[in-house]
Amino acid sequence: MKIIYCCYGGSHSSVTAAAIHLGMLPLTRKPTGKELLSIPYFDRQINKDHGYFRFMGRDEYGNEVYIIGKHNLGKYFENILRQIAQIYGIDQSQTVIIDTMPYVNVAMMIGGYTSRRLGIVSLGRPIVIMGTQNAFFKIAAMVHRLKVTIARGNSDGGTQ
Amino acid sequence: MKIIFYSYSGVHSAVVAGAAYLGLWSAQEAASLQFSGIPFFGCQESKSELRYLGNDKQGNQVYTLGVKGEMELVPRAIQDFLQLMEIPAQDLIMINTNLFINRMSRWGERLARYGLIKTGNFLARQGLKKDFPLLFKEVKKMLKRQGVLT
Repeated sequence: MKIIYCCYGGSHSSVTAAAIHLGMLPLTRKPTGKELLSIPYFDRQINKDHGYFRFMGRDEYGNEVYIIGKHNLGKYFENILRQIAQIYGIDQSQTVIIDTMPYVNVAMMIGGYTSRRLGIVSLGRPIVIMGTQNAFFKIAAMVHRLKVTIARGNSDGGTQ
Repeated sequence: MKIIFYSYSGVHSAVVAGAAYLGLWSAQEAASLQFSGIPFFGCQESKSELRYLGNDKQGNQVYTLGVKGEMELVPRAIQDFLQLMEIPAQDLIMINTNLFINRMSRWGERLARYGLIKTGNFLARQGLKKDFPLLFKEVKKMLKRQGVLT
């Protein structure tokens, strides 16, 4: 199965969710800035990288975990991919697409915009790290729900 | 192979280009620049729906799609998604019809997508009357480059 976490730029919330999914971050406490920065693609991707699926790893069940930046397409992004899958006869039950945007807080938006869009990393990065730490347990709970749902054999989410 | 014509709304320049390519638009309608006979032209679009227009002479399936302002991101994500699913890249051709239309058509598509369907369709229709020759010429050129047309 392919599990795809998506957010605006594929740099913060989706990367954090994928890292939690893959066990790259501790679940009993908020991660440190250093731990967050050690995750591949965290606060790294820029505009030209958006729209590419980035492989993050395989989880304990052998599912492939990806992240992608989808801008403000929201639910349209999944609609488009599902329709494309349909016309190519791709088995959609083997693909789970999770929008992590509902878990993005104001600090992540401001920090992410400053770091990724404006390129002022020294200013934006500490803000986005703080925001990610604050959103961490919400994201972790969502990932946990998703993993339980997938383990039960239902691939349609449980993320909202 | 599948050919997807895409634009902001997916129901204006994309369907005009697609219908003209497939010959769904009669010579009489094309000469008088009446768009009413074109399938899906100006219909309500709010979900980025992939619309099937028909098959061309080579048996390629032709679709249209509205991608809002994400003219680069959506094709990139679709191509990458197909690669992920191990489908050869040459099985899909995506043509951006937004490149060959003027400001009036662009605003028409945008307004229609935002829900101002009557105003949007009016502007798109007026704009496309001017744009159509260039639009079709460029689309043909692109399809020739991709080896679909000879």
